[in-house]
Amino acid sequence: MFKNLDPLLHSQLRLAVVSLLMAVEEAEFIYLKEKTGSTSGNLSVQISKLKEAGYIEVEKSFRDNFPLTTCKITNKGRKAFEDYVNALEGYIRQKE
Amino acid sequence: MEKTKNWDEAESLQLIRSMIESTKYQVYSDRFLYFLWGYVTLACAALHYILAFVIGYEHPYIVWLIMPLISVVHFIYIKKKVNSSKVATFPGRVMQGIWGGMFMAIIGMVIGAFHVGWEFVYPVFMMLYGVACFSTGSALQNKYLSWGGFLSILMGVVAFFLIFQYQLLLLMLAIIVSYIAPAHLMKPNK
Repeated sequence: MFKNLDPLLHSQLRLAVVSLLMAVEEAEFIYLKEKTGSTSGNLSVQISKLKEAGYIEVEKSFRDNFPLTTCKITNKGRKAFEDYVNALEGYIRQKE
Repeated sequence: MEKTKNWDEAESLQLIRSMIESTKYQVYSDRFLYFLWGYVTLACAALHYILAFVIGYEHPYIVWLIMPLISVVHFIYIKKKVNSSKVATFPGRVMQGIWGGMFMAIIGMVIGAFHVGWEFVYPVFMMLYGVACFSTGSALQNKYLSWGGFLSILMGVVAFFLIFQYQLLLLMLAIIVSYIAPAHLMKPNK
């Protein structure tokens, strides 16, 4: 089962991050941390993996002298998410 | 949220659904703003009515001078919320455009009122409140705001055919159905 699912998205935290970014235009690191309930360390690692795969863009800047990390989904990430959801639906149809 | 294996399609879909659902908070579904504008406008309209048609005061419209102050409170509140929202959404931008446009149109109507007369602008105010609430209700899928907006537009049309005294009463009703009632029916702010 799940053989055809994108392994990069078949991780709860990465899938959660990509789902959130599909619904918004961009989100700050702290927002993703709050919504997913993950630790900063784990979230950083998973964001790096998504970035390396070209699924998301990460922008680092400063606001009020504090570092600010903003994430945004790319077209490649959007396509991967859509394929992932289509594959999931395929499995569900198969079961039914 | 550390698990990576042994979860099924239903769990994946549930996770996707819950994450997307969690992004739905918008400052425009924040009850405070509707309460602020709703109750202040209702109070001003009621005071205006009492001063003009019960007491017979010569300058009853002075009650509306509080509105610039309310606008300042509104902008401070929005700025604070936007700075702490940590996320940018498409509906958020759309809502900002609709309410910003309504605000500019109201300022324009206030300026124009000195030329065309106040009895022409109150119905337009009701219609503008209605358009903003109807659009927000449609975008946020809030049926109370949609219905309130629709009724406010309808009352605006009716108000064109009424004298100013009744327009004020209708304005109070429009504010109750488009702002106050939907705000009471919204979920409390988190």
